[in-house]
Amino acid sequence: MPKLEVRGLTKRFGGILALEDVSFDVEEGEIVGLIGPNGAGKTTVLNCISRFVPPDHGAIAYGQRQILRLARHDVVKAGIARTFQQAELFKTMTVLDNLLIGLHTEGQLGGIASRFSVPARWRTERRRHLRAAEVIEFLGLRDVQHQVASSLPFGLQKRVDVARALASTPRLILLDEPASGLSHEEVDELRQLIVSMRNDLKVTVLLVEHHMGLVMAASDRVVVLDFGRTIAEGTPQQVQADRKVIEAYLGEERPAV
Amino acid sequence: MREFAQLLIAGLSTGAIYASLALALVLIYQSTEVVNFAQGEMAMFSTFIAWELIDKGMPFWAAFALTLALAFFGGVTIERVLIRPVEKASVLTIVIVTVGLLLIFNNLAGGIWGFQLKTFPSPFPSGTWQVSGVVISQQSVGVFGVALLLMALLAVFFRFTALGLAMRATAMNREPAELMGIHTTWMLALGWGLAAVVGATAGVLVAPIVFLDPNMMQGLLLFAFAGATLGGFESPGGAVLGGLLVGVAQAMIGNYVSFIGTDLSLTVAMAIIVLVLVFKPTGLFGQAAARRV
Repeated sequence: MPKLEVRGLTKRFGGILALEDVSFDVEEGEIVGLIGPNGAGKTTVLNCISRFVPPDHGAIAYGQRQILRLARHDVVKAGIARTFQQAELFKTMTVLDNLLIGLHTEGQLGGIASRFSVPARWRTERRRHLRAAEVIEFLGLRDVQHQVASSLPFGLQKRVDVARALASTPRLILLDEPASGLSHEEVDELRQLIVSMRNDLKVTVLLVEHHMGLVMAASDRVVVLDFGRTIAEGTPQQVQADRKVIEAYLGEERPAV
Repeated sequence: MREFAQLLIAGLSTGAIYASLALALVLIYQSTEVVNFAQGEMAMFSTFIAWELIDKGMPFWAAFALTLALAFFGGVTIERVLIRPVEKASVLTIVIVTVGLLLIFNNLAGGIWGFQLKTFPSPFPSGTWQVSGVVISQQSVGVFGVALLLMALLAVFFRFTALGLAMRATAMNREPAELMGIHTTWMLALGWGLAAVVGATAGVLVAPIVFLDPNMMQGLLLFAFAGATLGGFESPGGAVLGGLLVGVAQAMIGNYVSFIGTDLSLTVAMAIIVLVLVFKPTGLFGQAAARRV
């Protein structure tokens, strides 16, 4: 059972300590919310896991694998996919092509023979298209699959971003503020989607989010960061009642004069 | 009317060469945002290799195929060895590197093969066809056909293969592409390789017409720049169309505007570049770059 273990993650950007000794685990099959005020370092954690940013200290293990030893393009092969705050789609391509790119590593494990044999390539192409069709179905994108990504409203673009990440059949998905820019109804759909990813697709979820309603409703466990440090960890109820969390969000309580 | 048709055909034929070179420029610009000033000289150098192979007795098409293969590896190697190290440097640094490459290839070719003009064999028959009074040279049809075939193959490659898709993804949005498991650095090198192949094709096709010498591509590269600017540096299809348009415009203006003739045709190319940059800087098919800051 692969488990994500983040240990002692520290990252300094110039004079700013973005992460200071951040440690937490995500068990297989969990939905873990990672929250914190703006600038708390949430996205930096995701960027470390997906190898966009090299941390100064610390270790990230996923199952037997040391993530920090992987190249960026090998993270997906370890079974980890992610989405982006701004969707970051391949804008002038169709939704289907975006998903096919998400399936880039599918069928690459066949070795030399599959690279040079034409029938093997066709089979791979066919598998990719079948898998893309599955994901399109799962996310209800069938009507827009042949549309150019940038022509879609932002909410749908974010859904395509999720689809692209799911296409690679990850075991762990990192969602970077999936609710930002979404309407009220869309956030509710998103919550159902996240739960269904875990229940139906057996994908573990690490959710970075500002939308407290979503985090508290969807997560099994919540990790709270403030100024780059873990200040609380627990069930949504525990975290909501935690004094340090309330202070971080509302400002420190001052003694009455 | 007959004259017009004649000019149109001649224009499309030279335009196909501009289009190939413009496409080579765009292939590199799209993925790495580098304007490769050495594109023409790389093509010239490849053409000299083809000439050498033919001179040693190799049949034309075999020499052509081998030249394209060598050009591909040359392009990939240049990216890996010379461009990669300065990839993150300022635009100016990269421009200087490509201008340096231009000089290196020019002098290398001069040093190896000399600066005097050489004839280059044409693979096409020198005859003509007459279609209702319009004289069509088989040479120009051949040039047009080969250039277009190559561009069509590239279009199919980019549209329908997983590798083509991965290259487009890399050019469009590199970081997510990398996260999808694409080796983006190799995709960029592959882009240089393909651009070198397209450029080499242009060189081999044009060499029988303009003769072979180390400076043969310099004027052509300007027309290719005009074509790429006209079509939009962000759009391969646009660059091809732009190149064809520039070829036709050059033929028409050279003929109908008597004071321009052939002597001032480079001025036409420069005028096109300036006018496009003033009135529609993104070209006909380019999209304005929008960047978050």
